[in-house]
Amino acid sequence: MKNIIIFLLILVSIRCVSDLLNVKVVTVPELYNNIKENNVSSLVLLNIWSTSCIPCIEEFPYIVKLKKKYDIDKLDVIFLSTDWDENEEAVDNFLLSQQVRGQHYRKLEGNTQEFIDDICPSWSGALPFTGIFNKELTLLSFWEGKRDEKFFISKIDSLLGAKG
Amino acid sequence: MIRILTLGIIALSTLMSEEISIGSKMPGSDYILKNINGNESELSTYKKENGLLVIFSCNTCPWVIRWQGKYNPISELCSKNDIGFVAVNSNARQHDGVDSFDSMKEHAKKYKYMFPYVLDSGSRLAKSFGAMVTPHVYLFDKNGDLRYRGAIDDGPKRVKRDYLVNAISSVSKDKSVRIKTTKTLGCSIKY
Repeated sequence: MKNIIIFLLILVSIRCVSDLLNVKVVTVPELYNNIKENNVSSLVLLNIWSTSCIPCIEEFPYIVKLKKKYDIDKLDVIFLSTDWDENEEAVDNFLLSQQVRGQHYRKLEGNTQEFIDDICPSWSGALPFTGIFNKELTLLSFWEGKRDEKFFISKIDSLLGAKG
Repeated sequence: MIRILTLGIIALSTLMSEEISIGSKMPGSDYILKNINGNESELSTYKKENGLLVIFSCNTCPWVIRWQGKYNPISELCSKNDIGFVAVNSNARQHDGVDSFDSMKEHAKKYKYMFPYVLDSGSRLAKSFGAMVTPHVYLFDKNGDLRYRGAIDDGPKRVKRDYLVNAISSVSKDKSVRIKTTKTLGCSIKY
């Protein structure tokens, strides 16, 4: 009986951990290291957003749906907020309201120029920014500005198809 | 396949990086822009003896709002250095809404603008600059050559590098600008 209770407790705790939202403040090299350490997916979609960016908020639900649409071995979806420290709580609240769980990130304040260039030298800095990477975190495709659900799906399917 | 993907990324990069380069002549200098004071005049009319600062801006972008307090002091600095200053609203997709001409007037009144704020109909000027984001500045010298483009500074908090102020100082003295291009996060221009 004792063993069964312990087993059930372990199951519950595992479930709780996967249901938790964790937002880590990172530089770009830290972000990439973190993703590499935990990644099991063929493609990683990185969406860079902010709570104060209306187009980011508008396209957000489409991106959240992608996580449910694709198996984790095919696609992982990572959100990186560019909010300032003072919006830390707003970021967490927004992610929770969108049913986002797991490990996500917020940009370390400062060094914005370096941040943009480390993500993608061709990025103007306009938000939202979305990049799709392969397992080795090579950037395969990227775009600036809001897109609709069809665009995301078509891009991902074409990259998954290309990977064969 | 990797080659195709690489070519795709290069092609996309090219599309996204058609921003005017340092040394370029001021594009769209003959474009007619409607100022919130009612005047309609060419971009070139805002240029002064030592040059012109063009800032792509808008009414609602949080990054614009964040740097809003710097606009008037920079316009004064430009004025002291005989450099023109014009803020341009190129959000054509929002010119019927939050970036309408009337909203621009209200915005300028709210923030006590001391400089011209003009509407770029159809985003023509922004497209000719290759401008993608607000707030974003382009500083031209007395010959109309681009000498600095990018962010106002590396703030908004704990500003260590006052890029634009330094560039204005150099351009007004006809000296070389040390940091010529920078980037910052911001709102996409709504073409």
